[in-house]
Amino acid sequence: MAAAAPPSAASEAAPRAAVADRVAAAPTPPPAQLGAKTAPTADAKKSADENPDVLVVYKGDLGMTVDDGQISPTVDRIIDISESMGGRLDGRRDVRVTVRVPSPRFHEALQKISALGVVTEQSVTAEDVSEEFHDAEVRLQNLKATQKRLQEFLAHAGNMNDMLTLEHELERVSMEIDRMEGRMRFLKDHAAFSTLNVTLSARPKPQQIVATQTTKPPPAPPRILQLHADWLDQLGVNDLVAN
Amino acid sequence: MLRKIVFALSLLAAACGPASGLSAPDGFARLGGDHYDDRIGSASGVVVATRVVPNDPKANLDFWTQAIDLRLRQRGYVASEAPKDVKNASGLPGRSLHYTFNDGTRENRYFLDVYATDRRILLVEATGASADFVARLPKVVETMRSARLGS
Repeated sequence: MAAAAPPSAASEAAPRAAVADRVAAAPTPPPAQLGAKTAPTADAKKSADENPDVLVVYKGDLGMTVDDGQISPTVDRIIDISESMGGRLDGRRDVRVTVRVPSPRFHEALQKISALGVVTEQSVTAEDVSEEFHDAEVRLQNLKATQKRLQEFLAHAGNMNDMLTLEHELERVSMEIDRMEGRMRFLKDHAAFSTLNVTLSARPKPQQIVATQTTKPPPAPPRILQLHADWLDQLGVNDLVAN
Repeated sequence: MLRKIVFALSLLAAACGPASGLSAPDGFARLGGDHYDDRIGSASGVVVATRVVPNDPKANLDFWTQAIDLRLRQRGYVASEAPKDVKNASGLPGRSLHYTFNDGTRENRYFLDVYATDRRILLVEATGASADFVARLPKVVETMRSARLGS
C-alpha cells in the first residue's frame, strides 16, 4: 500500500480558501445588547450610579504631607482604610503606596485618606470603558459563533487538508477568544476596583526659637509726670557746688 | 515810743528775712547763692544749702518725695539707701533721700531732706566728694537737720 503523499502548497491553499469562504458566508449573530452607552469622563460617576451596565474606571493621585516620622504609620493607616472598605494593597514603596478600593466607595476612601494629612496635590480621573467592554463582548460572541461553525465543519471534513486547515483556524479563534475574555475580565476588575496612588512627604518640624540674648534688655524708663516746678531741675550736685 | 518803734522794726526785719536758714558748724563758710536761702561749704567742697519753694501743685510729702526721686534717677542719680523719715530742728516731719552721683570725674554723695507744709516745701541739700562727705557725715547731717523755715 502506497503511503499518502504530503499535500503540496498549491493543493493546500485551495481547500483553506474554500473553508474561509464558507465560514464567512455563515449568518452572523446579532450583537449582544449591554445597555445604553453614556458619555465618558465628566458624568461618568453619575452615569455609573444610574446605570449598572456602565463601566467606569476611577484613578486618583494624592500628594500629602504628614508630621515628621509619621510616614510609615500613615501608610499603614491607608492600607487599613482600603482593606476595611473591601479593597486591597496594590503596591508599596518608600513614601508611595497604591491601594485598590471598590469603585462605589472610591470617594469615601479618598476623603478618609485625605484626612490623614495635609493634601498638597490631588487629581482624579474617571474613564468610561463601557464602549470598549461592549465591543469586546460583541466580538467574543462572534468569535464563539465562528468557533462553533468551525467545529461543525471539522466534524464533516472530507479530507486531511480540510481537517488541518480547520484545526489551525480553530486554534487561532480559540486564542482570540481567550484574549478577548481576558480583556473583559481586566476591564471589569478595573471598573470594580479603583486605583488610588498616595505619595507622602514629611512636614518639617517647626523650629524652636532659642533665645541667644544672654543679657536682659534694659527696662523702659519710668513714666514721669511733667510738673511746672522749675526747682526740680535745679536740684542736684552741679547747682549746689557751682552756685 | 522808741521801744515801740524798735519792736516794729524788728518785726519788719523778721518778715523780710530768709525763708529758711542753717546753723553753720565749725570749718564751714557761708557762701550765698542765687537759688538758695542759705548755703554753707567746707574748703574741701562739702556743701549744704537750703531753700523754700511753693507747694504747687499742692501735694503731700509722699508725692514730692516720689517726684524728686524720679527726677533725680532720670538724671543718673543712684539711690544709696531707702528714703527715711526725719524731723528738722523745729520738729517738722520730712524725708531724707540719699544718692551717689558720678559727674565724670569723681563719685559724689548727694543727700536731700524734704519737708512739706500746706503752702511751702523746705529743701535741704548736701553734697561732696564721697571720701570728704563720709568723713564729715555726722556734721553734715547735724547741719541739715538744723534747717528751719523762716517767716
